[in-house]
Amino acid sequence: MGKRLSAWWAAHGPTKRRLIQVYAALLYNAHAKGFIQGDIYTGPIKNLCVPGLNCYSCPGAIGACPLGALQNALAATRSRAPWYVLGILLLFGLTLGRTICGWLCPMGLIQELLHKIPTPKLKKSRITRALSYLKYGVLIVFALALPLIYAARRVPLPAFCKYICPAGTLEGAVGLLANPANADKLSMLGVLFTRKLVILIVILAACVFIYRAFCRFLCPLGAIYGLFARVALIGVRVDAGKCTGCGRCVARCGMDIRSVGDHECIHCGACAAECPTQAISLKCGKITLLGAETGKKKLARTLIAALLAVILLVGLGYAVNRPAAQPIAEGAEAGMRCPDFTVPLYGEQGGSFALSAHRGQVTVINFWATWCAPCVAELPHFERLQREYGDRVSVVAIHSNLVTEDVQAFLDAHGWQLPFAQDPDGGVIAALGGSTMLPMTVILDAQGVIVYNKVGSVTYEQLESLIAPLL
Amino acid sequence: MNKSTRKNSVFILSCLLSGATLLLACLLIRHCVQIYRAGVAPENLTEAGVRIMDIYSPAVIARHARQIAWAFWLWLALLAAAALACLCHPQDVRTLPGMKSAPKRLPEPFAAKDARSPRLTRCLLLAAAITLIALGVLNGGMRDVLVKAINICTECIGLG
Repeated sequence: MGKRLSAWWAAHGPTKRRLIQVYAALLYNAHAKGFIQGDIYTGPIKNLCVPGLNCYSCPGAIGACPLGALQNALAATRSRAPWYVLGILLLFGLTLGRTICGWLCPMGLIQELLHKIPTPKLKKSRITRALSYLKYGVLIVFALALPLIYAARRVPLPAFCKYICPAGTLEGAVGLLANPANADKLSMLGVLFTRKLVILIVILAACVFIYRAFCRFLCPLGAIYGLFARVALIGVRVDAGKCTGCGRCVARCGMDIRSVGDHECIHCGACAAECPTQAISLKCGKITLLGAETGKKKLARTLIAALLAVILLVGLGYAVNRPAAQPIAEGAEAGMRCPDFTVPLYGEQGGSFALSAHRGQVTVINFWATWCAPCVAELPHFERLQREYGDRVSVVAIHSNLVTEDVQAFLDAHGWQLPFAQDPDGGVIAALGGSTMLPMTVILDAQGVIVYNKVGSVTYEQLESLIAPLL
Repeated sequence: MNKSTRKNSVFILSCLLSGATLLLACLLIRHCVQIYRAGVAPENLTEAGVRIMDIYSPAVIARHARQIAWAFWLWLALLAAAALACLCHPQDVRTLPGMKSAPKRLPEPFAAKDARSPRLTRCLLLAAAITLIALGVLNGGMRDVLVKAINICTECIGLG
């Protein structure tokens, strides 16, 4: 019985690669508290990018997504060159290359698990090989060109995240909405969510029939790492002396490779087991990580596993012991009186905006930031509101305390006439709910009682319908 | 059950599971679109064009989920049956169409240039990467990454 059980486990148990994939996914999403509280991790280690595609708006994420960071850095090129993200991507590509896709990407793990569902599969062919070049188009158009084009118009647009990214929908949107604490966010969902959810369903369904469909055809991060195929330190290597050119390696591979280790190869090492002459091995420089050699291989595996365990432990410990987020202040919900505040105004005249000075008027408070595309897009609505309602409605747009560029220069370029204030220590937004989500709009009646306090974009018509009963 | 019958039944089961997967995906998409269309229908808008009820409210989601629950349970049952067959007779699953994806032509011959170690290129790229990261830390790019990562841009994750 014991023998049969061990034989069954040897045949069906998870491979070391699968364990490392799960390990990496857990490590990237070590902020378990986030899943319970329905909020994201806001600690300082989030300025580091993780190598794989993992949405940084996932409640568990403890690191930044390199692709999201790249798009946002490109979107902010008018104020700052994107050296940091480019350096990080170069470092990841140089050291690991597409080994990241095969071993360290949570999206890759999800796709492989879906492909385990025993259905007839779509074979790789000339068509899939041609489609594999689509991801370079997606990289150029959605991850590079559109953010840069819109940056020139001063509108930050992470186009791949906004229009395609299934990791963002699955881990970020669905991950947050799955928590009852975020039930109020359901009111924000509209055409964008529907479109992205449909894309997610199509991709997940495709992965059941096509091996790593998203990875092979759409993933721009894989396209970036693929560029480093020739120079990456870790990867599968073929011993030219042993290779007989039988082609079993390419036949066994689920990816659209032409040869082992090319830009499509994710270095999963499945071909190493298939090679009849043991010519293929996964190597880090001269150290064999997976392949024919046994002594060094075992040592290297143990070292890597130990290293990952230490990183996981440190990551988890750090995430769990992070300082508690600012508590939600009393008076932030509809029906409560808004706490009084005074904030300094932008502009040459300076001055300040004191809420107490506007009692007796309907007050609209908008929280925004230059780097938040929907925030910038809705600012004209608030300007129109102030123009049309004059003294009856008081409007103030408060910039987030997290400033990444010269806000005054940004305002000068747009020429808006609203009173723009700053929230230097983030105290006002914390007092009104402490949300990390933008845009956020709060509407107070003449007595200073909150009648509306929600995160998400608003239209001019919505604003009018909310204000009309208060006048 | 002889080997051939067993293989046929695994194949039929896998085909049924494929159909159920596609059906479930189609139903999910259809109901997403239905929820959205109902949410933006004129009946749900005031004269000023403001929505009366949220497009995706818990009640609406629950109602639609109940409507497609049968497809989900069917898919789950077929998945369980297929998984059981896969665990008991993995050799039958390996023979499913497409599981072996051998191309007709042989791969490109292993090129000798692959054997050359790109050590110099690696060193130069490593130096460039470290320089870029250092420049990024100095010009505030690292803080930009943090600012974006600790704030949720609702539009970027598809919330709206």
